[in-house]
Amino acid sequence: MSEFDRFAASDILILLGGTVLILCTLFLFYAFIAGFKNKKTKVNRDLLLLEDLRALRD
Amino acid sequence: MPDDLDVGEERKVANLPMLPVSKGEIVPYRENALILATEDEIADLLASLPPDKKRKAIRRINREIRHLRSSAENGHLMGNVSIAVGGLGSAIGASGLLAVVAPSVAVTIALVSVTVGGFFVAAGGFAAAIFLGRNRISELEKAQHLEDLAKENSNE
Repeated sequence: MSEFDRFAASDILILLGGTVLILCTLFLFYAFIAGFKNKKTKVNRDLLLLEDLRALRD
Repeated sequence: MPDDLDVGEERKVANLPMLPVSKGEIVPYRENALILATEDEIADLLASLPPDKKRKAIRRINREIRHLRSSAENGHLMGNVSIAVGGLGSAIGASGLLAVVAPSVAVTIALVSVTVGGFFVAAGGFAAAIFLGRNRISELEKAQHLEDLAKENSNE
């Protein structure tokens, strides 16, 4: 393998790795934000359920 | 605030329905304290309802159970993808270790960046998987508690 070939191979590896890493980072941001949003929604849904049941009682 | 109150009472006394309790915790996690307190209230409310309204309440609770289970399923899927992302990050991080045989300084720097980035993504992926997994477990537990409550009350 010539020096040029070795350089091209590592170049492709870096580009590919970098692209995948960026995509992975974006997914992780999405996953964390979705998880935190879900936690908030869960508390609100608890309270909504309670409100509905209280409305049935009153 | 007195220290000998249980979780639900403490929340009521503090008049903070949106916030988890911070003192005298009986259960290990704050979010579970909130969930348990709410479930106690739901049980009390169900017990106080007449039979016809109780059926309506049980239908509403069943809707909540379905929502919780489908949300847990989504969390399961996201958790699996997070684990895959973690694995991919580890692999990319490890491949960046080829920096030791890089042909030039520029390539060495780039490969070292890939290694660092890869291992960061791996850590993030596994952390996200743990976080989503804990969310999922609390959702499934809650759905189970609500199902038990609904069953108890529909048998009466």
